[in-house]
Formats: sequence, structure tokens, C-alpha cells
Amino acid sequence: MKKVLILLLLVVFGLILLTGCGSKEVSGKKSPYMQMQKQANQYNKAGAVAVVGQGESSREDIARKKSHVDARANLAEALNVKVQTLSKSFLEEVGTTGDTEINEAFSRTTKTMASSVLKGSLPEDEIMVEDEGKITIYTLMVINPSTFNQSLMDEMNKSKNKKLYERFRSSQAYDELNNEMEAYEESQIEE
Amino acid sequence: MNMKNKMILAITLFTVVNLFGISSYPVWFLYPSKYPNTITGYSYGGYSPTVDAERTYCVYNECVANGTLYTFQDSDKKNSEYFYYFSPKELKRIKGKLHSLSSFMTNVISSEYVKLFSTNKNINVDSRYIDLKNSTIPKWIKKRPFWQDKQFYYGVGEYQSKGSENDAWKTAEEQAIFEIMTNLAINFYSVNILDVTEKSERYEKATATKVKYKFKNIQIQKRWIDLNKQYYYVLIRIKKNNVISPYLN
Repeated sequence: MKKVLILLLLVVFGLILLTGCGSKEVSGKKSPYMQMQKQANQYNKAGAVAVVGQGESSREDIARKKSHVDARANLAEALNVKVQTLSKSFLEEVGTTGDTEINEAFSRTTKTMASSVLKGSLPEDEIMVEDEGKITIYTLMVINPSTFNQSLMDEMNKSKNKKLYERFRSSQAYDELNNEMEAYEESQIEE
Repeated sequence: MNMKNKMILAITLFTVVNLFGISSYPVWFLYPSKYPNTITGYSYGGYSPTVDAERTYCVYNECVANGTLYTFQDSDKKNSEYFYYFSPKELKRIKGKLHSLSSFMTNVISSEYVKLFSTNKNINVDSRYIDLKNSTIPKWIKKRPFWQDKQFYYGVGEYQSKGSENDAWKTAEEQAIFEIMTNLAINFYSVNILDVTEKSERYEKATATKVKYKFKNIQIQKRWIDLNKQYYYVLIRIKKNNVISPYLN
């Protein structure tokens, strides 16, 4: 009897140990976001502009779209920082620091460039995690630094010389505006 | 001194004078009101004065100024999203019809020069130059930036040059028109921007100045330069009944 009891106790103890082991989770793995961010940091160190976006949904396509939108929003913010740095170096290069006309042309050009660059930005890598019907997608988005830097400098050098003529515009918009003003004049006469 | 050396000396002197900027200007340039049917064209960034004169002719003849100027309070930065729109048909009509009457160089190194044009090639132009080295500030500059009489609105544009002289004159001209607009009537907005990120919080005030004007027959009256400070001034006037804007009522 004593032997049976001891055997039973050992079995129960063994079961407890097994359950305990099973319930413990040893986590040494990084989150998917941190994995992507590590990749982005490597791109950023190399001079690129790289960000991670995150999107969550019960549908994979929507989760992916959300992550792309999130990545592009982060990219716009990161680009802004990049553009500030480029702005400083451009002004130093052309020796016109403090020239507000240059700043205007620069901000106009960078706005246009940033929007076209964002339109052309494509995801570089992706991690998908599925958990209880919920899909989370992490997207790595990168902009090629040499293309962006050189394009920006080229555009600026082009636009710098043309800035005078930008103020006077020969355009079909003149007809629309003129019609508006003529209609306004007529309304004033009627009154 | 032989002929060759005299030529070298003359060219050197001429170049040195121009390297350090000119101080004498033609009468027609400083007093354009004396030549009402003429237009001034500037060479800039590879464009010829003829191209500039043709476009300016169209704008000053009739244009619609429309858009918004944004200024950021914390810095000197501004974003000019306003333009002077003119008719492409008018440009086509005037192309090749302007005759060059006179010219002078503003920078030998960059080959920048200024030309006087007119549709009438028979206008006699005063060839005298006026030296502004010891000249006093004209009275019209002291009245800046804006005033009016019974018939006209007057605007004085000013700009401090940081490089190209032609750019400075051109900018001062445009600023004179802008002074007329902003001193008459505009739509004005002030926006407070609070930019919050994980790392920082930034507050900035921005203003938006909206303009919408139709102008006919913009007339440049006078030009002057403060040679010491490199400030360029231009006086422009427009007849009151040639200024139309919904903001004026």
C-alpha cells in the first residue's frame, strides 16, 4: 500500500512538473516590429530614408493597405527631417544662406518632390503575423538616397535660375480668372 | 604707352569697375515715367532681356494677380503661392514685335544686362547716365510703401540684393505691385500650428495673405539704389479705375 501511495505521489508530482514546464514560455525572440526596425536602421545608417508601418485587420489585403499608409505617413515625417538637412547643405553650397527667395523655391520644389517620391515608394519587405483571426502586417518602406538627393539638387539648380519667371504666368488659368473678374465687375455695375 | 597696352588697361579698368558693381545708370532706366510707351527687360538665368520684356509687357498691360503668400513667424521663411497671370494670346501677339532702343550691362562676369524696348522703334532715348554714388535718398522713397492721390495708387518695392543685380531690380518691381495689393485690401488668415511627435513638441504661427486683383496698365515711374547698403527701390503707380478686386468692397 505504501509503495502504491509513493508511486501515485511520484506520478502526480511528475504531472505537475510537466504541466509547469508546458505553461512556461521562454521568450528570447524580438517582435516583428523590432525586426523590421532593425532592417530600417541599417538602411538609414547607409543614408537611405527607411521606416516601418503597421496595419491590422481581419482581412489580409486591408491589413496590408493600412500598413502601407502608416509607412508612408512615417516616411513623410522622416523625409521632412531629411529635407531640412538637405536644405542646409544646398544653401551652403550655393552660398546664398538667408536668401528667402531660395527658401521659397526650395520648399516648393521639395513639396513637389516629396509627394512624387512618396507616390513612387514601394515596400521593401514585409512580416505577417496571424493571431486568433487578427492579421497584423509590418511593412518596411525605403527611399533610395542617391536618387532622391541628386534629383533634389538637380531640380533646385534648375529652379533657382528660373524663379523670376515663375511669378509671371502665361496660362489658361488667366482666362478663367479674367472671366471671374469681369463677372464681378458687371455685378458691381448692376448694383 | 602703345596702343595694345592702352587697350589692355582700358579693358582691365572696365572689368574692375564692373566687378565691383556699377554706380551710373541711364536716365531712361532711373526715370521710366519719361518714356511711357517703353518696357524694360532683364537678362537672367540664361534668358534674354527680350523674353523678359515680352512677358512683362503682357503683365503690365493686363493681368490677374491671384494666390496666397504664407509667412512663418519663427523664421524668415515664406512660401509664395501667388502669381501674376497673363494671356497666352497676348504673349503670342507681342512676340517679336518689341524693338531694342538702348541697353547697359549690370555684370560683366555673368553677362547680365538690361534693355529698353518699345513697339515703336522711332522713340528718341536720352543717352545720358546719372551717377548715384553721392546721391541723396529721393523723396518718394521716404513715402514708402504706399500712398494714393485722386487718380492713382502708388507702391514702392524694395529689395536688398544678395547676388544678381537684375534679380534685385526685378524683385523690387514685383514687390511694388505687392505693396499696392497688401495696403489696399487682402484676405488675411493667421494659423497656429502645434506639431507634436514622440520626441518633441513645436509651436509655430503662420499667416496666409490672399490676393485677388485685376490690373491694367501698370506704370513704372522711378528706380533708385542705395549703393552702400545695396537696397534697390522701384516706384510703381496704377490708375485707381484700373485696379479691380472683390476684396475692395
